[in-house]
Amino acid sequence: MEKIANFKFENQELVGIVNLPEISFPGRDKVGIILSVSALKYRVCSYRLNVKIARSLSQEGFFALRFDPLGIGDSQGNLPSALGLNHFLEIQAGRYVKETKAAIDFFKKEYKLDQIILLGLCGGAITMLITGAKDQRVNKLILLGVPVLLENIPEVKPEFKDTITTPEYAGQVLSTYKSKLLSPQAWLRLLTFKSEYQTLTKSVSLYFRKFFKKNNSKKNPRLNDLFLSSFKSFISEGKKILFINGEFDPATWEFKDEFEDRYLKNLKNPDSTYQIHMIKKANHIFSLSECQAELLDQISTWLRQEYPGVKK
Amino acid sequence: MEEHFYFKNSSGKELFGVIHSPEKPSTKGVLICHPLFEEKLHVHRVLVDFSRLLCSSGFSVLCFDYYGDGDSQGEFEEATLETRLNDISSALDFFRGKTSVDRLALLGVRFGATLASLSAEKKGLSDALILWAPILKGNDYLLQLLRMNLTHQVVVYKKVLYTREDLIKGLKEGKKINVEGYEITRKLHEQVSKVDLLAEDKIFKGKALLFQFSQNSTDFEPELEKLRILYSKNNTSELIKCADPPFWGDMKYYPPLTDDLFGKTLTWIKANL
Repeated sequence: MEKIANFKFENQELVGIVNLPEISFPGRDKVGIILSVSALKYRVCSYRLNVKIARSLSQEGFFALRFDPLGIGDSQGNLPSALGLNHFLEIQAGRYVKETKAAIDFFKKEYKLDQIILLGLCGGAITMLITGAKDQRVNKLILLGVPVLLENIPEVKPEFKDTITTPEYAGQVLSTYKSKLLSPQAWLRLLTFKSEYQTLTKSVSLYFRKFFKKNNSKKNPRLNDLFLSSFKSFISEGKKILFINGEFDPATWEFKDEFEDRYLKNLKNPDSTYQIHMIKKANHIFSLSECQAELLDQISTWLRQEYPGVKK
Repeated sequence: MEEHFYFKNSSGKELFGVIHSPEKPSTKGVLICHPLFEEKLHVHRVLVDFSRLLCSSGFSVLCFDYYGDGDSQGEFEEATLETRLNDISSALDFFRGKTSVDRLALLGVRFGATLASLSAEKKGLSDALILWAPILKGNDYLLQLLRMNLTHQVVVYKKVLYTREDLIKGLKEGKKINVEGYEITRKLHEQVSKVDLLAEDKIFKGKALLFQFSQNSTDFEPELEKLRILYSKNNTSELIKCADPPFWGDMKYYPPLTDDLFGKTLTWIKANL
């Protein structure tokens, strides 16, 4: 069952939808899961992903709330007109943390919940991680395609070469050049300086860097320090995180390069605190139907492990 | 005042809706028809903002989600062109029953405009029609959608594994076509492919306003002009150019709207409804 769930934030009304549990587990804690918006995409998210997740969660006996922050979706308030990449930078700095805390206030009080889990995709994931680190009431996190690097250029659309940030992505770009090796036109373009040399040289240098990765200990200047500090803070209390990434998502490659390989490997931390699951063939939004199904299955499986119980 | 709720369509399924009610009860109302696929997400806030502007100008407004879309019941792949047209009809009945509205405009964007136009052909469904960048031919639209699938294949597999023809053949074998996470079924494909707003004379007797989004072009698109002429056989119709950028595309570089679209539409509604 789905209910309209509007609540106040800074004297303005935020619009949300609550899915009530379809089954109950006697003796188990009442757990509510809040789903974040992903940047400007309102509470339903890409291809209604949040609706699908919320309905799946209710079938597993959880409460689920998805809501629109100020100025987004059906909520009151206005966003400044000059949006764009700045908005993403603001999200990565915690722009929607206050609204998420207000959502926790509402959700816990209205449904007398024992535990709160936060779930988000992309910018929504970073919002939830920062909130989780700042709000003691958050028990667990589910982070989908979380970006570890800050957005590249605040005002202007980045050039293609600037979007190539990992050896994996560089490898993909080079594979497109591989197919042109036997093309006379491509060679003509190369020899007459019409090829995109900057893209090519950046891809080659980045791709071969992976073979010397151990010697490359320099921190990426775009690493979001707030991501790292929030992660450390959250797991230091023994709280658990489920990361789910897509195999073909550039954010995943950055996650692996800048966070897993560089930071997590050196962390003296039992694997039980966090789990990382990669979905094959998935892009940033897990759009293929088989990826959607696996995503829902992974979330359910993890939650069943964390909250065992007997259905009523 | 804004009221959010669920109401039932003619099949008993729950649809999500919002009524924007002006301070003084109004006999004039606007029903908003949203587009499909990711365009729905991209235009959502624009439609909310315009609904609020209409409401502050004394009009009642109903925004709702078709079955399988937005917050409504069902899955996208369960819905068809037919179910969406029925939902518009149910929403109109609900709107009239819930408010004192007796003069009604249908306003749609992109394929929502196409649905509004098709709905208006059903006698008595609307007094005025406002079409923001309507999709005129279903086949052209489907080609655009299939192109998105092909692009995704190149990203994932580095090459096209299934051509456009393969995808359409697959539909006939019961497979679906994934477009940015949405599944196109054979039934939806068949129904949309038959849509051609220019094919026949119009039954709709009300007034029509059409918007062309072309910041650089000084000419009207011939096909939109043709649609305007079809509407003008029964009543007055206008085709207007909008200086605002198309707002249904990628949200990463979200362009702020100027007053052009909202201002011109509101002026027209005030004069014609």
